[in-house]
Amino acid sequence: MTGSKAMKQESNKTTKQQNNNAGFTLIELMVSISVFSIVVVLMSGMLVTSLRGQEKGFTAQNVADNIRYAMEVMAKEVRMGSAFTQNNANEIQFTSNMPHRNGSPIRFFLQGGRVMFDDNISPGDVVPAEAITAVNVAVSSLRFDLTGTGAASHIRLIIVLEAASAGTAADVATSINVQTTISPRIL
Amino acid sequence: MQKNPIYNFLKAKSHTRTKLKVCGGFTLLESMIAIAVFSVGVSTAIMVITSAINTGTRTKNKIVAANLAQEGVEVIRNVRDRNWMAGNAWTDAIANVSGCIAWDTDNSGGALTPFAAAPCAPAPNMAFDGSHYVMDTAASMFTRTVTTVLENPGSIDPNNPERLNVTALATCGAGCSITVSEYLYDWK
Repeated sequence: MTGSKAMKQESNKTTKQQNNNAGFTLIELMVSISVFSIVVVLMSGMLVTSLRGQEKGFTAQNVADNIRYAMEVMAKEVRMGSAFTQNNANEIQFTSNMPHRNGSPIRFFLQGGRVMFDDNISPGDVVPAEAITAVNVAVSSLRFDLTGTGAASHIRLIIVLEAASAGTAADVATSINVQTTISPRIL
Repeated sequence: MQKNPIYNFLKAKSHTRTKLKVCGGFTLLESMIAIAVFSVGVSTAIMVITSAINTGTRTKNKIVAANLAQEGVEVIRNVRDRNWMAGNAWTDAIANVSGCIAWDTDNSGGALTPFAAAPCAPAPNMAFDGSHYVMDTAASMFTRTVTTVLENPGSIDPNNPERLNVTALATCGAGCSITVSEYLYDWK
C-alpha cells in the first residue's frame, strides 16, 4: 500500500516535470521553421552569388594577367627591334637588339589560340617557339599593322589583341580587346 | 486519465500560453535593433561581393586603358622620329596640342594619325570597331586625350633644355583612369 502511494507520488512528479518542459505548439514550430528557411534561402542565395562573383573575378583577373604579360613582352621586344618584316597580318618578324640576344631574328605569331614567341629563328636554332599566354585564355585574334617603313619615315607598329577566357561557364566568361602602338627606339 | 497523451498535450498547450503571456515576447525596440544588426551584416556582405566582382572587370578595363595611353605617347614619339627622318623641325605638328589620336584608313593604308579629325567632339571616345580602337562620337567606356606642352622653347641650357611634355589620359569608366606622361627631347 505504501509502495503504491510512493509510486503514485513519483508518477505525479514526473507529470509535473513534463508540464514544465511543455515543448512548442504547431504554430510556433511552423513560424520558426519558415523564418529559418527564409534566412537559409537568403544566405544560400548570397553564397551562390558570391561564389559566382568570385569565379568571374578570378576569370577576368586571369585573362587580364595573361594579356598584360603578352602585350608587355611584345612591346619591350618591338622597342628594341629593327628590320621588321611581316609575312601575314598575325605575324611579325624582326631583329632583336636586346643585349643578350646578339642580334638574333625573333618572331611573334598566333597559333592555336595562343600568342607564340620564338626568341631565335636562325636556321641553326632548334629551340621551338614558346607560348606566352596560358591555355585557359583563347586569343582569337592577334594583328600587327606595320607602317612607316619608308626611308624618310619611322616605323610605327600597331598591335591589336582580342582574347577571351577558355573553358569557363558562359555566365562567368570574360573577353578583352587590347590595342597599343609601339615606335622602335632604334632609328 | 493523466497518462492520456491528448490530455497532456492540451495541458501543455494551455501552460505555454500562460507562460508566453508572462514572458511578453519582444518589444518593438528590441525587434528593430535585431533587424538593424541583421541588415548591417547582410548589406556589408553584399557590398563586399559587389566590389569583388567589379574589381575584376575594372582591372581588365584598366589594362585596356593603359595600353591606349601608352599608344598615345608612343605615337607622339613616332611623329618626332618621323620629323627627324624627314628633316622637319622636331616638334613639327606636335608642339602645344591637345586632342585625339585617331585610326585613319586614308593615311598610307591604315595608321594612327595624331590629331586627325580634331577636335574630337563631342568627346574623345574610343570604341572597338571589330579591328581597332577608333574615335567614336557615341559615348563609350574608353576615352583618350593627348596633350603636349613645349617647355623651355629654344633653350640650349643643358640644365633646362627644350623639351616636349607629352601626357596621355585614358579613362575607363567612372572613377577609372590612367595617365601616362613622358618628356621628349631633340636628342638622337
